Amino acid sequence: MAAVIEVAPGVVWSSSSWMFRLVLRSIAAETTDKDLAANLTEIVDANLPGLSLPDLPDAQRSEVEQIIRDRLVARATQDLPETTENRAEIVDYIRGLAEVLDGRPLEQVPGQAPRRPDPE
Amino acid sequence: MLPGGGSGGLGPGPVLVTPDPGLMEADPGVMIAASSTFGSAAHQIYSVATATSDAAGKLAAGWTGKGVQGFKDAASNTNWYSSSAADGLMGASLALSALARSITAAQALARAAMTLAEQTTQASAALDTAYANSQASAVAALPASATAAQVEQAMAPTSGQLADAQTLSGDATRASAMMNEANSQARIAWRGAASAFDAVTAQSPSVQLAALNIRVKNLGASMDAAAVESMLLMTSGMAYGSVLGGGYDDDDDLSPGVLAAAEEADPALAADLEDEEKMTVDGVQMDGAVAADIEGNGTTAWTDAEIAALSPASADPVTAGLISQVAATTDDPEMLANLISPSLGEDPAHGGEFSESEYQTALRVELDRGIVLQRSQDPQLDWNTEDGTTYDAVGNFPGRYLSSQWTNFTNAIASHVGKADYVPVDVSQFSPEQIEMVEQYVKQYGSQVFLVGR
Repeated sequence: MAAVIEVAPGVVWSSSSWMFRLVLRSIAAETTDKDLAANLTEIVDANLPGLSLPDLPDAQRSEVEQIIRDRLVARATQDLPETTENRAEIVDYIRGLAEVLDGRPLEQVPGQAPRRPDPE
Repeated sequence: MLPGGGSGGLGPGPVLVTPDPGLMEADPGVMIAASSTFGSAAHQIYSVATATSDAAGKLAAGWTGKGVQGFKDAASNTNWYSSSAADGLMGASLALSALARSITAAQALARAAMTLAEQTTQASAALDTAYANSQASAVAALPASATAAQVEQAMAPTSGQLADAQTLSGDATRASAMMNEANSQARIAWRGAASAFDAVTAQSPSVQLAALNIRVKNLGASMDAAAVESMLLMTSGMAYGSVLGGGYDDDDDLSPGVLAAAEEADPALAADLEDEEKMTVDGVQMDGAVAADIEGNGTTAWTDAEIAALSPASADPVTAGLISQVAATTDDPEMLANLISPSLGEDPAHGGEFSESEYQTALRVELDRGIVLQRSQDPQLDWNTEDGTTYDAVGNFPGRYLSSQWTNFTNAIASHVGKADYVPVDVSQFSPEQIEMVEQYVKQYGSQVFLVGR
């Protein structure tokens, strides 16, 4: 299933839903904000298609952004089973979320939402 | 604004779910019986085809007499046509067997939906009563000098009542989604059976009449009037101009009485049909080896144990219904194993953790497209077919989230249109109004984006 994280209005990081769930569970595990963790868990449990950072309260949005920048890759790497196929590629793709957050130029498809270029 | 279904209550109010006409009245047992009859007829005809192409074969010895001669004559004119008749009847037999299983699953799901709807309706009424009582008590306890704010606070529901209301709202949505799924399963099953019967229409006149006769006799008791009417309409073209000895007008009533008259007018045809149904040759029990051959190739029907061995042990009735539908599309164990492989719903990032919703969507895509999916090795995509065509789905989440998730939902579709060859959108948990809205949105993507689960 396809899923997205909207990091800013019209700027999205898209992934398969299982990678999306990995990211949200990792963020939920890293945060101390119980409401944020509950919100992320609800998105995962209900199989929802995305998380919109602009829709979060300011404090939660800052918390999520900080985790994405500083701790997400380490956490996701720790949570990802060693036996996972294409593990390095997955970690690299998740690392791309922080790059999108920090304004790396996005590939813009006419009539479609912006997205990060596929990994080389 | 308070949640609730109106009338000042907190709960969702009466939850109404309605099965499609005929769904609950259909009798799967009668369908199974009809399936066996078709299967037997199919194997007899196949045996004739084999006999005519291999006179020295063991089947030839067991197939003599006037009844079989009619089939042999037809087969000698166009031998392939006889074989395809057997395929068609076998297809009809399998379709009936599958129809029985699908209808059983759909009925179970519909009953569960109605039970949940009833329970939710009752719980909603109880919640509304409790809320009204607590409001009255709280207001009565206020002093005469109470401020508007105090009154408003007294009128407000407790957090527990709000939580109950939320739960009931979810149950109401779930009941509706379950009934939609049950009706959808039933409609797909009926369409599958109808397609199989359509295949029979292209075959020999005697087979057509036999098929029609068997079907009307055996299924008439299990369908409501509308279903019988639709089947008769479907088969009217089949019998027109193709019945031995002449044709019927389009407007003729193809009732069992008319068919009986056709048999009466043609004793040879009646004898053939009777032989078909009783597995006899001119009234004499057929050769034991032939009978064993036919029995050995009887109607294929997957048992629950066979399916359970190949697919995840899911207690979810929706998943079970979908698996039943998929199983009805093949009698090849290897194919079935691929079609319902648990890997379609496994999460590579969590040691193969199973995602029920993802698995359901994969099965719906396979049913809708007539394809076999496998888990994609590309971590950005869901599935692909053997030829490399890629699929990345969106949806299959509760409709109550659609409004708040609309931007994410449409972004997910838009962003994955550029990645996958096809983006299926699973609308099985959405209301008809929401499905309409989604359908309008995806029109811009043409055939690359399509809906499943409606």
